Amino acid sequence: MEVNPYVAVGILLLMAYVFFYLPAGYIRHVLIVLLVFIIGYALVMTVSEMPTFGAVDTPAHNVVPERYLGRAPEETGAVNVVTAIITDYRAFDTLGEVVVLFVAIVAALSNLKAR
Amino acid sequence: MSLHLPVISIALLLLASFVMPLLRRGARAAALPFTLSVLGAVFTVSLYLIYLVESRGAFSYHVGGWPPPWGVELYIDHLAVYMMMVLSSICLVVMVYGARDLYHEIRAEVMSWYYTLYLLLLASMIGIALTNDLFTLFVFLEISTISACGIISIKKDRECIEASFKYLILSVLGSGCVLLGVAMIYMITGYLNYDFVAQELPQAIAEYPYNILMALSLFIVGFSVKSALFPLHIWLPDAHSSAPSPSSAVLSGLVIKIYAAAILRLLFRVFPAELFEVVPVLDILLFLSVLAVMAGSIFAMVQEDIKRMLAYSSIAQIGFVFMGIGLFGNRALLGGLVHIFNHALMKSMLFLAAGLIIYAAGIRNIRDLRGIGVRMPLTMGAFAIGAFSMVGIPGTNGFISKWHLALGALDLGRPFFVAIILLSSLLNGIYYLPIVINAFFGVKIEPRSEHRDVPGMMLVPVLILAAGVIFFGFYPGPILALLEQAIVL
Amino acid sequence: MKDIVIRTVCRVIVPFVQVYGLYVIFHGHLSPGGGFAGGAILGSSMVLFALSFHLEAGAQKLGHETSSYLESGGGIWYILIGLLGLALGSNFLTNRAAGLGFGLPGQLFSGGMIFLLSLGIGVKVASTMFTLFYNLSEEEGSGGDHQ
Repeated sequence: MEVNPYVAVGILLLMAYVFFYLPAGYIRHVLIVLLVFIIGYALVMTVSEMPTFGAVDTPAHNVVPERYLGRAPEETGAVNVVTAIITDYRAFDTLGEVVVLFVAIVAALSNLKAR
Repeated sequence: MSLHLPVISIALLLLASFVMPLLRRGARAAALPFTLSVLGAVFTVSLYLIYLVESRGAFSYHVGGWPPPWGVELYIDHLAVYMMMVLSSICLVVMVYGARDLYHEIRAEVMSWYYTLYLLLLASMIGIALTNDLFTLFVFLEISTISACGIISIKKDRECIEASFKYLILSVLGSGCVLLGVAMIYMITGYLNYDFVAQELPQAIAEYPYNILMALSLFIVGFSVKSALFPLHIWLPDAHSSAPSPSSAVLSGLVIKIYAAAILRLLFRVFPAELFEVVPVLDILLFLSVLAVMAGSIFAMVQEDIKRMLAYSSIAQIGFVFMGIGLFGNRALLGGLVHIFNHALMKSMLFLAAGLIIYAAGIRNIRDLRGIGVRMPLTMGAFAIGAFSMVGIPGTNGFISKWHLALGALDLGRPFFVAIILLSSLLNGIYYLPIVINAFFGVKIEPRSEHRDVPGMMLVPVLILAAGVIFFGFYPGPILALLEQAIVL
Repeated sequence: MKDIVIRTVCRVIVPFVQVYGLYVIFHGHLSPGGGFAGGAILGSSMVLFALSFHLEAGAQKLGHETSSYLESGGGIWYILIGLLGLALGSNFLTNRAAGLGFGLPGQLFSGGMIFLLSLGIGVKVASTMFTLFYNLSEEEGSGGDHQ
């Protein structure tokens, strides 16, 4: 699967031109359909080789969920493994989520009160 | 204790931003000193961390005490402390300027909201620089996206809404691409930590080639939108030119660079080198960076508004950072990385100087700047230093980064890029130098509006940054020494 | 809205919804749910109240001042719990290794930091929902007056 850099850059440039600059019309529609087919082809190929959902031998079944599922109650004290993951094993990400809520509020309110 | 400092500085910034909206009428005057002291503390910590990393080497920090594949890991290496130093120093200096400038650009009621968003933006950028985990990267990416939009749309003008809305839509699109990429990487490797993903990916190439290719292209597109690499730059001129001047300085100087630093980490620490032989990602980035350098310079030439011109010039300059990444040689990468700091210094200085001119004389149009150097000699002097640095005249720090990029290109036997660098310097000269010449030697036009005095609080940060441009032009040694250790490939 | 049926039903339902929201928050470490889900339930109960009565009635129950304190308070609480682990000699946001894990797994008061963090997240999510709803609808109302 060799990728030619010129083709890739060409597609990217064409995409940017069609989306941002080309005025609405017949050519634009045709080019958008063409680009959607190119992206769609790539996505279909991606989906077709994904590991089977829920299969035992998927890469995601490794030491990480093993420890989460097997040792969460004794290590964190929480019976609910999902909560153990989001508020203990990966509590830093949850801090980030809390901050995302906060920044959304602050951005929205500052926008409303700004004028 | 000192190993906890990176996470403490993020926690301190977040804590300060949470406290900020609680400051009521009486305590509101304390908001500015509080913000400045927090920024100063983080800057001091970043300097100490540089010393720490220089003396004992890179170290990793396990948040919550969980070892990497299970918990979140922060990895504090030379690149991370370098980015942290750049971010905190520029943020501190710009905030000193903003203390006075913001009062005429945004309403007093939303002032504490502005400090909140500013602190959150710095916290998230430091998080992006330090993290060693794909999902934490995405979370901080979200925070930085929303807070960057917030500090644009907070201005009184209505055109800011359109600009920040455009920015928000495209930037969230970029975040979505990154999230999809993270999901694909997790699906085919089973890890989120950079080091573990890097271990698993070489085996996964054979099994899931399209997934890796798709994840890589999603990362590239997502981060390119956010860092305004050439064909995806259209949000930048509006957003950066309509924002309040301190926001423009931070957005142009830091925010677009941190995403370049993030994609650099992903390309060199996560994705295996064999992949680049199959997929010419670096060539694509190189190609786009050349287009960015040329297109940004050409667009900047035809602008009338001074802040818009500076914004287009940022598109050209981010091209140099990506050129350093794309050339994939030690020296070129050094040039690209040092350009992050150098461009942050000079572009934030230029934006602040432009803001000062707008504040004092009410002029935005480049043609009206004729003779302004006589009225505002210090401001225009600083602007001139920044302009020389943009062109790359020896003795300014812009020369250092272009010099290393050019030498790096020659090391790799690609003199074409040296020609591009020279050509872009020429183009920069075409649009920067006439402003300076006209400002000092042009025929004076009578001022249209009344002339306001330049407050010292606003002039001093500009002069500090100008001094930095000159200082790091003559003594780039410490920065280069730090970066040489950062890019041991 | 002045419909008596809606108001009466709402008056009956809201306390139950709130109790259920608190239940989901406090049992986050025992059963499905947690801070995010419970906070959303709590917040939606307040949105329901403000919708069925009046915006001012909602504001009387939970003023701007209070909601902004809750807003910041949830985040500050989260970070302070994280710093507690640091103060106890471990890393940021450490739970059991820092000696924070109290109680036996399966009991209500167990899980240490998880229990406390869920509370902070719940407060944060609830106040976010309410603040956003309230400010946006208030803005809409005042915009209508000007026209």
